[in-house]
Amino acid sequence: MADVGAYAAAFKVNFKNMLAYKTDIALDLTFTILSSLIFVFVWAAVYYFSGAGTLDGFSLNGIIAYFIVLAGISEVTGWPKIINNMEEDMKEGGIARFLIRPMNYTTQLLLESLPVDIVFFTFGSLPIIVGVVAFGHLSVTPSALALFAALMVIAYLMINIIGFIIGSMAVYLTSVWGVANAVTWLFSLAGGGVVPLFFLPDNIARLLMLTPFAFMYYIPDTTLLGIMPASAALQSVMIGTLWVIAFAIMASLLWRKVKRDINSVGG
Amino acid sequence: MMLQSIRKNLKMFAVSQRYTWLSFLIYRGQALSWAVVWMFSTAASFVSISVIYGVSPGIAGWSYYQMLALAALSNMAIGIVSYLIRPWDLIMLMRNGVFDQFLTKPYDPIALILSRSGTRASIGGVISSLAMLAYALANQGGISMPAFMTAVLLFALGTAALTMFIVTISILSYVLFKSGNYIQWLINIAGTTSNYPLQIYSIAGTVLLTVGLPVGLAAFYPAELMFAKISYPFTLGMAALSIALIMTFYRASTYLLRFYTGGGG
Repeated sequence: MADVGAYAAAFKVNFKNMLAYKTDIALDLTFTILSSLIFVFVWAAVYYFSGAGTLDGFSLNGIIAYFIVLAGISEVTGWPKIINNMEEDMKEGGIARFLIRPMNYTTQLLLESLPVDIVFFTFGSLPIIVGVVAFGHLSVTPSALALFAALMVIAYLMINIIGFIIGSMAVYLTSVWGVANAVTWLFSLAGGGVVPLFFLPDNIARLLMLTPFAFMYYIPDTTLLGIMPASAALQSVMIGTLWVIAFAIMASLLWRKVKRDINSVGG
Repeated sequence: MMLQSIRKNLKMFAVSQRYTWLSFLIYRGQALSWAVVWMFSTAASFVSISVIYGVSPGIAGWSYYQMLALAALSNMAIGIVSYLIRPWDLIMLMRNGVFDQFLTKPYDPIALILSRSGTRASIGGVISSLAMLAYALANQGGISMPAFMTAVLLFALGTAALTMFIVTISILSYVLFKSGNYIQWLINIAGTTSNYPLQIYSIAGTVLLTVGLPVGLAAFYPAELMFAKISYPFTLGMAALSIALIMTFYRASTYLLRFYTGGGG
């Protein structure tokens, strides 16, 4: 088993590598914020034309806050960054190099993707979320903040385990990018990334809240903004934990099979 | 002479389509998954607009079906542009030196770029958008055939202008930075923006999305024409602007290619 020093060294190297792409990070953040701003313009036009202060009980300010926080959340949950290296490792045979190291492959993947997420969270999610809370004069309670943090950890684990499952399939598929894109699109569409679930019919929204989709965007977002009551958020933490465990079991079973088949590819 | 050259390039384009399609369809599962990804953008527009019109009267001056038609035109334009040019692929061709071979061939380099650097999967987006457009127009009704045909022509010109714009900034980006990841993001933003009437982005936004990033020419104005929101003289002006932009961007991209240096290979 590798010692802590080796993990720390690997993390440090990957973190430095990540910081080399400052322009890419800045551009990614700019475009993510721009994407959310489009919805702000759209909803502002909708509210203006309707002449109503609220739609389905939600004010324009609430919707604006929702989409801006969404930009912050999507920096972490929008794409399973773990896939980025996995497909290349599998396809080009680099996996063999990782498997002979005295460090678990999944740990190595985590050490590669974690710095990316830390950078995106620190320079993307955090300023956006703090900005919305400060400038929007939102009163975020400590319990809402704690629940939001717990839900973000759940969302992070869930998207990366799903990413690991998709990445593992690179052994059997020619390319996993299509599947990965389809899955992330589905998460966005059904998880509140395109429209807030509170605007959907009650029965559909309630059903989606039980699925993994809502954990990527809607549940953490509405928890932070206080739209979702603390009791419902707590229930979501429990449901989310169950999903994480279920996906982890699936990933572990799949990885066992993949490890057996891995010798036949790459080189 | 010019006609002969156009015919020669079109023939090359048609032949290359056959081979790129065969190559794309070798891995059917992968091809299908990508086509599905492209269909999601149409689905996202449909859900988004349906929810907006479900909870409110919508956007001023635009009925539900008109909005669906506008989003369909926008997604179709982005699908066609991506079929012809994917900046990432073009820059990779330049980086690994494959583009050097393009320059030695007896064809127009821009025609070669358009025949080789796009993604076939975007046809999924085009087909799903066509279905949404048909659904929207069938339900909207009251569209005159001349307006529809003129709108199709305006759409074609606008899409060509947008395509040439993407080609130009891709080459410029390679010449300046040897990179261009952000152009794909720009296309995604353009796609989402043009799903909605340009007026909601203020006058500055309208001008920017008409001339700066000409996505409005491909979707917004053809939709406005289809639903009799703009006059024929104004349409003529937009068509002239599209043609001017096509020519300007074509000249700019061929000029920029003079500064191209292969990235190895």
